[in-house]
Amino acid sequence: MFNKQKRPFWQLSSVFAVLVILVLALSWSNPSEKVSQMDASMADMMSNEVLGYTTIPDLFNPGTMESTEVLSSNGGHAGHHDQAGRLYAIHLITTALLVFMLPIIIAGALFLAIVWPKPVKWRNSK
Amino acid sequence: MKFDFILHWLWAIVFSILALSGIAMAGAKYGWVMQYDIATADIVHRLAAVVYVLLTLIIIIYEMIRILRRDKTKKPWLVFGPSGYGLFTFITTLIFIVTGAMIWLFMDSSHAVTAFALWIHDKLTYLAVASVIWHIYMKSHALKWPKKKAQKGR
Repeated sequence: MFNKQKRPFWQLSSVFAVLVILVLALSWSNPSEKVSQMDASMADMMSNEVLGYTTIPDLFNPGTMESTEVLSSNGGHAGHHDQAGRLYAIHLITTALLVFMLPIIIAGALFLAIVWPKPVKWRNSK
Repeated sequence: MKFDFILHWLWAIVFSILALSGIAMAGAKYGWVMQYDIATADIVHRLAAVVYVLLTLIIIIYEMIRILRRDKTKKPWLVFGPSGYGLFTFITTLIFIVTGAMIWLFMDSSHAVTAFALWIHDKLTYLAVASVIWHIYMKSHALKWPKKKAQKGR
């Protein structure tokens, strides 16, 4: 039934299956955890609540929606960041790294998108 | 050990961490993956995301150097490529990075952008995880320990 060549895949799958069963068993045996009744993912919930009445221009105008909520939530975040200074520092460093690397990645991706279709012919001819 | 081989497995480890921490945050249904510790999942996901972006940058620069040097050698372990699964990984990675950056940067300022990006990020995760399982299945011969191959060769 099983292809012998694919045996490592099934071995790996069985290791993962055991791990999943162990984590599930640990999760269900822990009485302190309360499993939520929500079945929808966060993305589905947000898309149902927000994207239903969002227009395309809203995507290009950050900060124009739910201004009062944003202001209050930002205030809460600021206080939280003061309490967790190290986390905030990590957040700043990682955000700076992300903002620095993103344009280079996009430029590199554009370069590859232009050059990749050519090299097959280009490399074979050389 | 070859550079593309190291990059491949570093990529696999970082992607696994991102997938597990991301799925744990995706909704209550999958919270058990990290014992419902969403705060830790968030920190782990963000730190792994930076490594993921850094690895992407390294692979893109490596590929650009190879093209500029007209390097013809085949790199079977290289994560990105001009066709097949390499191209699929390249496109999905770019979408993951762009939507991830949108969620990261606009979380506090625009619910519309966050909801839009999060929905794409979420659905793409299931597609990427399914594709990784298929990729492991197709390339499962590579999971064999090289020593065994050498012994068989003798």
